[in-house]
Amino acid sequence: MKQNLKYASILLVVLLAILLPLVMSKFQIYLVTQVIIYSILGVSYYLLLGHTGLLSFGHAAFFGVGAYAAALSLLHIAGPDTPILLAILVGALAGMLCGLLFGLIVLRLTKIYLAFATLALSQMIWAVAWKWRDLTGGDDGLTGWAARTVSMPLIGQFALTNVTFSYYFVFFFAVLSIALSWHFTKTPLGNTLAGIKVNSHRMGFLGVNVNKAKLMVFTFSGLIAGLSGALFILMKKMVSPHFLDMSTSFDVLIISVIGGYASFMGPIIGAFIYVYLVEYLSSFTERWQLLVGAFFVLLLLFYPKGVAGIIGNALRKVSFVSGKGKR
Amino acid sequence: MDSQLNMIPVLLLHGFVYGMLIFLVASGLTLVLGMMDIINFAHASIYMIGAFLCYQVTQWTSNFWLALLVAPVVCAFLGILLERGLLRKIHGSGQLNELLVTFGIAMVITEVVSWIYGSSPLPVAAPVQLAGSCQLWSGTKYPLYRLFILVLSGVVLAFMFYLLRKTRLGISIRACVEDGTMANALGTNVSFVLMAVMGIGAWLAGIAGVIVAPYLSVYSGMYNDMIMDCFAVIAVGGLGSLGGALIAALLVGQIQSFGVAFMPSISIAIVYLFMVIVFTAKPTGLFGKKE
Repeated sequence: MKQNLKYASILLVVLLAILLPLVMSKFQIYLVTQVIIYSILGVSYYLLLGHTGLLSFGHAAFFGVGAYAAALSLLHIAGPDTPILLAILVGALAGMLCGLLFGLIVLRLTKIYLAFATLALSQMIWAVAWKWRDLTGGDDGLTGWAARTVSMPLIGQFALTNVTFSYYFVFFFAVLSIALSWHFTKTPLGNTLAGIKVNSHRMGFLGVNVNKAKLMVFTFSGLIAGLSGALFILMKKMVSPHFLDMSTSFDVLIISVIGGYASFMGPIIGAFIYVYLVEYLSSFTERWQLLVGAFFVLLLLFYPKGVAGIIGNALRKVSFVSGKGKR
Repeated sequence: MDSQLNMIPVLLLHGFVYGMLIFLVASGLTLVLGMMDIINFAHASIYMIGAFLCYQVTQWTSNFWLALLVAPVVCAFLGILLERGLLRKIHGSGQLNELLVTFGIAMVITEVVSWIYGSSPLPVAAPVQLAGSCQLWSGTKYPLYRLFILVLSGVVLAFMFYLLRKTRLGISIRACVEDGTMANALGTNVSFVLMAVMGIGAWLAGIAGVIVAPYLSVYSGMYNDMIMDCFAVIAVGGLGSLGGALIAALLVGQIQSFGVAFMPSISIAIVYLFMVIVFTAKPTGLFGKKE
């Protein structure tokens, strides 16, 4: 019964997401697209932090490398004829490689050392994007695919500027990658990683190859984050070193914390709140970062489990009152 | 090449000056880390506040020495306030949670400061007594103000080591860093020691902020520059190790100084490269204990 309810609600959300663009303005669709991309990124971060307990301050690297790889392949592989799906594939694979590389380097580190090391690594990549002007365009970044049209097999031709098209396009990949990530957490490997979060030494004693498992989650998280980066450049029509910046890493962290970093749904809720909060606040004050920061601190002080935690508590209360829930 | 060789002593001095500055900030950070296991992101914010206070005081009174006296004291009070009002409350809620709260506080402070002062750099004039430069040896001049930084931070450093090694409070601090529960059981007032450490750490950060103001000018981005170097220092030096932090700070200072002079194209990444190399060689930092 409970299981059915869960699937029904997921189905409802998906159906709603499919139907929404029919009634929303272009700007609203654009915002929701951004929410979806941040959700993918947030879920990829959840795999590291919430699921495995690995604190990374360098998640922007996976995102940015995916974005740059997709941009470069759009510009260079076959000029204007580069298929969009190929670019996205390249972006995701580049993110995956980046994740693998990070994993190999930081494997032995734990806790705050891990955070510092990932931060240092991502800053190095940021510096490369900043300095290697010939390839990355330096601080100007890369652009030049805004006017492309995309031919989708079986469906037809679309302009990249078509907001509704990019919404559905992004949405398709979001469903795919989030479902894949969900499945990933339920595989034996996913269970192992959850065990590593609780006690990595004990997992080692049980005969689990802890380092290999960590490497796998870094690689997979890189893949998903790279995908979100590749999707982001289709929406933004440009890529710049800001994608790789420390502040992007911290944005992901803020999104996860607002939503609740310890739950799978947390970053998705967090992405929704973050995008709308920033949009709403920045429309009437220049100092929106101050308010976001204050919100962030207050939430941490009073609801460290984030909005997902608040919702969970409320649901539990409701089911407790109606006498059906189990404590 | 000959001129570059002549530059080496000057570069060494530059690196030394910058290294001492980082150490002044990082020392408070590493002590709090050793005692409470909290990475206090807001510590570098206090350094930034020190610099802006220096700007404000020199604006009002055009007296740098007054700023040097007053601003660090105000910073010390802010540090104590931060410890009493916040760190103490969240202590024990998990390392990640504590770190995130201080990160949020730092974010808010940076925003407030750039709200008040804008985001463009503000100049602070060096005091007249220290303007100009002095002849080090034939043909090499060095700005007097930087020598002053070196001397002052040397004095502060000596004071710190005296405090930690020779006084009652220093013994208590070291005991609390080693094992807080045991120190508490033996009758040390851990809560007071903690407050003292925060106060002294913030005072040092304030001094660093004031003396950096005429040297690098004052801007809201100085938080980010400093926190990264501090992270490098405490990570490389080993968490909670003061001697390690000193050596690491001097190393980072030299790397910055020589990196900018000899490898300008990679100078923005060179500290990160150094961090990664240290981590791959020794996962707990150069002087860290094995966990």
